[in-house]
Amino acid sequence: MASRSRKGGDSDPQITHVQIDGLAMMKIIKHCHQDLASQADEAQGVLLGLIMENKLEVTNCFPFPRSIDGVDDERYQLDMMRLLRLVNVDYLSVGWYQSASSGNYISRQLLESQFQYQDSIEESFVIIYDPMKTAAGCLAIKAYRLTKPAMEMVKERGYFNFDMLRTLKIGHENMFQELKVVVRNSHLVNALLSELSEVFPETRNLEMMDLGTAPVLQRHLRSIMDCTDEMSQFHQFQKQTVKQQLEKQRYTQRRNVENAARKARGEPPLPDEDFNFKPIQPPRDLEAGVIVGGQMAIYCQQINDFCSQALAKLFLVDSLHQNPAPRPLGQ
Amino acid sequence: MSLDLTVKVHPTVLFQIVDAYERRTQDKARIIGTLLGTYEKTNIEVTNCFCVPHAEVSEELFIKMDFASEMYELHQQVAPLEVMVGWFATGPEVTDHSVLIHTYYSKQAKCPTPIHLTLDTVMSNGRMGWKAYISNPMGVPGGTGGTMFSPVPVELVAHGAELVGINTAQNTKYSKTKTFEPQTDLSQFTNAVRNIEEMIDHLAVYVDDVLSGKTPPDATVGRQLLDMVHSVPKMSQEEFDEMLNSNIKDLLMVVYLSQLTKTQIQVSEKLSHLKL
Repeated sequence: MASRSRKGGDSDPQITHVQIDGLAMMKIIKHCHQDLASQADEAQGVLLGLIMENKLEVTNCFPFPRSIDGVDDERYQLDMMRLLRLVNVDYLSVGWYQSASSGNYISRQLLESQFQYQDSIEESFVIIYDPMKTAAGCLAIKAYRLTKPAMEMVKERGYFNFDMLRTLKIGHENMFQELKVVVRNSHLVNALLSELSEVFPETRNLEMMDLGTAPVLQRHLRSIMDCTDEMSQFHQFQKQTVKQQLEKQRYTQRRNVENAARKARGEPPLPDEDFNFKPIQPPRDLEAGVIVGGQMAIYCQQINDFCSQALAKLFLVDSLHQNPAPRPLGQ
Repeated sequence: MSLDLTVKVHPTVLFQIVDAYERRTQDKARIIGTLLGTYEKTNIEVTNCFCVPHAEVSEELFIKMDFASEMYELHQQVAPLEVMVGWFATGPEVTDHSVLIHTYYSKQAKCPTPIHLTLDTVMSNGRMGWKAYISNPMGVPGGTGGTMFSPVPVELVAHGAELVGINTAQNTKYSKTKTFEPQTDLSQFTNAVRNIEEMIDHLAVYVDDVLSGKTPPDATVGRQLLDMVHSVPKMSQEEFDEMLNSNIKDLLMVVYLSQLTKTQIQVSEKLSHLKL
């Protein structure tokens, strides 16, 4: 078995990056692409590999079937790992992966799944792969782990417990710790790649030169608008809770004053009845502010990146257009 | 026995075969496994595969058939559309055992012409080649029949995202540690621009050579160049400026709004952390 890094620490200082094999990367791409065509749900799967000194190696992966009734996740995973063991594939699961179209991956399920994995295996992480962004030209693969405060929050399910959020000082920025991703191939695979480079010439990566920026921007902005709606609902809930707290305080103050006055007059104090302040329940579908905030931050970041690229492309076209000095033919 | 059959293979399959070959136990010279994919009348597309443990001892052949069927079932749960379309083996040539294995697979596979794919991982010609075969019975009627493996054309296909993955993986050839870190968007963009620049330079050199008579002109290339030049839309300077400016204004506004939103979220979080 591979050696494990020491436990403890806020963000495990031993792990610096994630090394993923070309094979695992291609399998993730293939699985997410195939599911993109069929349904809008996320494609998920398990990553297998080793933990070596300061890096996590992912050598293989396999996809999970969708949770339809009758399919037992545990059994599927155990069966698959047993069979893979027979063909000498590493059978230590180091994490899991999920596809996320245009970045909408921060949700309560992600946090809880990652919490479960991280609870059992300290160093496990989740890889988020964005198929639409990759098809547009650049490989979008990121690795995340939950930070210690985030683990606490998920364990206590304190999404709406403002006191806990305050003490843990959790904000959308320190929920996840991002790990660097490095691609690695063995020599034989490199030989295969040299063969492939004859079939797929290497300079064909021109999909990102597309000037059509409007559809992508529209999609991103629409997602941000949905998030804003949720965020405003959350703020309303927050305001209501705060108002209720203030009222409670005022009520207890008034009672204390009255009780003091009655004691001064020698009358028995009023019974300490608790006015029925029913706690305000958050609306059922509401996601916590931290989650929505994190999601919005990601969208904003993506928009920034995308716009900077688009601006660069426009300036490029501009410069090309401004040199129409024609060369006279036949010279 | 449709002779106009083409086999399309995705690069993921080849990656998996190479990886399984690297992980084989020491005593095996080659490995075999099942190919999964989809098939139509003249078209078989191979999208996935898995390795099956087997043993070849001189004349005898053992395949773990229960492993193969269990693994196939698990794969069916994830991708019900992918069916067994054949099998693969590493090594440069088709051996006698291959006939036995092929008959087994022909019974299992729903595809009318299961294919046999070989990947030459031992690189006998100094190159890693791949070939596909289908089996045809041969022989004189009335005499002993045999089977012949006839080669079928293989085509490598990959969709957009797979191409991007391959291109990223290509870069591991150039580093000593065989590793490569995918770069940020802007640096990838600069690389792509540099590529285009090189291609344009190349073209310019070619055109100069043809004009000065150093290279004989080629009509097809010339026509393609003409098409390319014509595909640039012709716009007056004002129209172009207007379009450019409006696009730039849109982008800048979106950037401004997104920065504002980000700051707003941070401020609201800081506020919610304050004790009242």
